[in-house]
Amino acid sequence: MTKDDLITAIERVLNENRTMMGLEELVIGADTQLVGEVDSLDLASLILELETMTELAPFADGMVPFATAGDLADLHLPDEIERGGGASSVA
Amino acid sequence: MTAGHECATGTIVISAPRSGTTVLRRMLDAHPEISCPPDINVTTHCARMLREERVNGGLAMGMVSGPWFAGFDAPTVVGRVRDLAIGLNNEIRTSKGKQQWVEKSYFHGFLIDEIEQLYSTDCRYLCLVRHGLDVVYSMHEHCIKIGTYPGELHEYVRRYNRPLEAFAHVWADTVARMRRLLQEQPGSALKVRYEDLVTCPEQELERILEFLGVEDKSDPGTLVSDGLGTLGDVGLGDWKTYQKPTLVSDSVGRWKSEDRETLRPLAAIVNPELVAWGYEPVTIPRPLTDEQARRRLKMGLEISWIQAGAGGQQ
Repeated sequence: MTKDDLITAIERVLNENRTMMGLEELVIGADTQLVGEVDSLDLASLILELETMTELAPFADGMVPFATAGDLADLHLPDEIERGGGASSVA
Repeated sequence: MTAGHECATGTIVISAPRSGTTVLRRMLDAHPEISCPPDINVTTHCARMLREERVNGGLAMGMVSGPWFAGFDAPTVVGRVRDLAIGLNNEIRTSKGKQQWVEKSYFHGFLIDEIEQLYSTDCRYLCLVRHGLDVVYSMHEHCIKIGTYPGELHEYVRRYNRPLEAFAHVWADTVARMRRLLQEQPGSALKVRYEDLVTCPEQELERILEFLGVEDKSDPGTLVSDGLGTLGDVGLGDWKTYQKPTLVSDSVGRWKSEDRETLRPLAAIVNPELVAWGYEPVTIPRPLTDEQARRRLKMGLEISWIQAGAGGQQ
């Protein structure tokens, strides 16, 4: 799964909730600010979805600071483990 | 006509609490022929007088059955209470120089059986419905504001220990009973949706005035401006309608900003009646496992910590 795939997934998951609630859809890019803009529990739900999709759990040992959709996508890239991002497998 | 003597030219607004009865009442009261005062609770308390308690063997104990032993049958007693309710409403109507009365109350939705017993077919019924989840959150906010669970609402809070779920059951039970009323008395009861009232007020008011049979069918739009643009009679009712001098629809769909995990059990309670009343059902995907729910809370709190700018100061 590439970074672009992950950002597309982030957009889909966030808009899934918004569509369900009848709210206007968001356009998400790598620079889109999430922290401070999206409700913290909704972000936590999004992270759980990303964990299921990628089978990676970068937050398993505690919160890793992030701000944008790009940051969150980076944390869920498999090679982020090699780069020391802290992602561990949920398996 | 049953045993009462007072002539009814009245209408009862039936709804779950917090369904928009105050905004409706203020607009109706602006009509030259209609008296619709703040919550006077005459019908509420007369209806409660008709409630009976059952003891062993099915024996009823109450004001309707008790006087039988003194030679007064139930229709006579109910007629006396009806005279009281209609009489007081008629006196208020007359004092305002109006031709017909409409009474609304926070409690009518809990008392539909008794109200039907009280008025039978002598009254008309305006059945006002609002989206169940908006009602739930409005009830919650209102109970905090007034510091109590009023009247019959308290019974639900005792039965269901999560207040939001208790309110959802209040709404579902009330509107289910309202649907029966509409089916049983199609000529005497009119369905009104709050969302239609606040988005298309002129059209809805025209329909309501037609149902009430008023002679003066002048521009219903003036009821909005006159009813909400002036203070009128103040009393018990929703305080929020006085905060804006016109009709607004910003309270429609407020539930959509609530947490979906909180909404999930509420949706299950209200969905059957939402569908029955023509609303879209509320669908909340995939419940979380216990572990996911705990992790979601933990991460949510940690993200809030980051949002507060305290993430680097752990």
